[in-house]
Amino acid sequence: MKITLEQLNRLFTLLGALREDILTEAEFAELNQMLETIPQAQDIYLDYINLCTELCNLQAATRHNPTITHAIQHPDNSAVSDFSIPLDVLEMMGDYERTAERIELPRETQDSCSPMPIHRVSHNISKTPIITAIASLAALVFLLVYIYLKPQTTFEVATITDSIHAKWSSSHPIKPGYRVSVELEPIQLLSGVLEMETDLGVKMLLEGPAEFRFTNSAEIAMNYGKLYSTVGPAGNGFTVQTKNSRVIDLGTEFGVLAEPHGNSEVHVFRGKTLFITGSKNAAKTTVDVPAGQAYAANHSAASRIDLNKTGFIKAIDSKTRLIWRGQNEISLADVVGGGNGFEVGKPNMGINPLSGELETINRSSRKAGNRFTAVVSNAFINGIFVPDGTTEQIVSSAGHVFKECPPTHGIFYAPASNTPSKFKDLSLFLGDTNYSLPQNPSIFLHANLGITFDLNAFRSRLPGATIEKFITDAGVCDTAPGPFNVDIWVLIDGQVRYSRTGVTQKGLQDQLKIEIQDQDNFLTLIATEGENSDDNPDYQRSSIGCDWVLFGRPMLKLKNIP
Amino acid sequence: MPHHKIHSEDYHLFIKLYLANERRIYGYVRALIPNWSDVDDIIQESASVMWSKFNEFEKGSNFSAWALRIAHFQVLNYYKIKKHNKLYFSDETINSLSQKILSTNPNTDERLNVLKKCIHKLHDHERSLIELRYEPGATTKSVAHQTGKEVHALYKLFNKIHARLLLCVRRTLAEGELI
Repeated sequence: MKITLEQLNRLFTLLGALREDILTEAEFAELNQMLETIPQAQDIYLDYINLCTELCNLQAATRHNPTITHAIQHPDNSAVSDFSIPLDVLEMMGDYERTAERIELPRETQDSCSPMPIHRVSHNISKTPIITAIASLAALVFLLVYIYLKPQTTFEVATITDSIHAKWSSSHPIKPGYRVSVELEPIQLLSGVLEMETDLGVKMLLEGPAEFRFTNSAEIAMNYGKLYSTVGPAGNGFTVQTKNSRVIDLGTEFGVLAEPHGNSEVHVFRGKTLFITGSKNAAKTTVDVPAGQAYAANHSAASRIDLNKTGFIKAIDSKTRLIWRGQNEISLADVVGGGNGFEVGKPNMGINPLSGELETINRSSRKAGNRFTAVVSNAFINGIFVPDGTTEQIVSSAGHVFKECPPTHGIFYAPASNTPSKFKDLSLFLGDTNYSLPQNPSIFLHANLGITFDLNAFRSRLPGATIEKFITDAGVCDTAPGPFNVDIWVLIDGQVRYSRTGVTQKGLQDQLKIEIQDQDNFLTLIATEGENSDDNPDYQRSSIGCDWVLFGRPMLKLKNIP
Repeated sequence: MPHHKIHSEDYHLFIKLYLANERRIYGYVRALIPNWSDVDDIIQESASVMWSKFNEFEKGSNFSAWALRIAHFQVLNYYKIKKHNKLYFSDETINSLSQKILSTNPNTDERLNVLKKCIHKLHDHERSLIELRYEPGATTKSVAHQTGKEVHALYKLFNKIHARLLLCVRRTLAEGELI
């Protein structure tokens, strides 16, 4: 039986009375009768209950004073909202509003979020609304645990997943797996970075100095500090509370900066947030902040500011000391110097092709086999080798082969090096650029040498970002003190993507832009001695003489950065 | 007291599962108990029973169904105790509502997201009124006092806003199903 307009009117009246705790016994019987006999009424009833419950949830999660003054000052009590409703429903609604019965309200009505008794029954149990999605659950579970298990004073809501140089006021050591609880007192993160994940799947990076505490599993209160959060579907509605604002997630990645004196900022990188500003007991302003926008709030107002794209730490990895703020370039020179691509590596350091170890640059001609040596000390370098062309030249741990590898004498002279300040007392120039200066990082490859980078090692540590291309200037140093003959190669998964062979002229330099696809795994840079007609053993050592190959500003460019 | 030895893994698992299903359990009980003052008690009782029987729960099976079954028995138990006052839904209504809830897609997250969107479609002053009304401890009368509006007018306005939100949620969810 389809519900009639008259019945719909009556049902809404009864549901309104139920909501307001003014349903009489007779009206309740009438409601029951409607639910028994009209299937559609059951749907509407259940949706209405859901609506009231979710409104309680939302407001309990938000827990802020709304824009009271705004509500008072609005002249139109009955303005129609601007979202569209199907015409037939509008018609029904219009009729409903015209014919709605007058309801006499009792002197004191009941809070919708609190119990709504039809007949009051004396209860000793607190009437505090339980359905504050998580906070109340914490209380409930606490009660359970207290009664049935053992007394506990806190409720765990998140897990530490990583940290770098983090020191905090808690007596517990910071280590992966440590469970963080809802606490009454804030925790001070004195320094460093803390990575945590809540049980609702909210990943967050907190940068010290900061003071914070979880108020429940869906909310963190931060008195001061910097927080970046990535909220998954289960964590939707996650809230960051500062002294003068609340940031409510609507499925997002966002950063919050809270200053000790109260000012705060929200920077939204993906999705959308609600930014509710205004200090305690003051009128509040609510701003929708979509991706790509940022707002600042002081004690009196919220205002639009520029998005700080690299203002928040977006990923860390303690094993590689990686702290990523959303930069769009990875410096491979830094990696060769023992770093992770973000200014951690040291100049004048390099990778020895015999041992795969990081060492200071030392010079001497040494013979090596063409074995591919894994670099275990750096997750971003897959391996290193001295190409000689005698057998298949393996260039990656996956067994990719450099088929075009020319025959060489299998001699190398120096490690693959990061930005040598001098080589044989000479600065390394390509054209006018001095690549011996820290501001012009470079990889110096003296033939014969090859080094392979693991692209997936970067991808797995930079969530959301895509490696778009490899860019660099490539050539032989203008300052090489004698004649040379050298080949320069760039490979992706063993396939030659760039080569310039038999380079004998100074001043030649190529600006490379090599596209990288998501399925590409390894990037290899190689310098081999040029073809020599003289096989005299005495010439073998000089066959690599002055083969000073330089990759200037070798960078992996990133896109789709959150 | 629990009837089984407590393992911290069980405890964490229980918490995790309960957290994930808490809203659905609450919605279930609240729909079947129009006397909302008693919902707290029933939820607490249900959670206690769930924990005490958690050793009987087959790991990997449907926790939601298991938990709702326990909640359902607690609801029936409540009606048994309260039957003398005759202010309860009939067995037929309870069974029918229960069936409907259990057969409904429990995508509470989606519903909540839709509701958020619908709230944002309200006019600012309507949204503010709803926020005031659903503040913990608030009543229509307290909102009337805060805003200087007449209680009865406010009551009608709330009826209208609730109806509008209800229709918006239903319409949006229905449109989503068509895509």
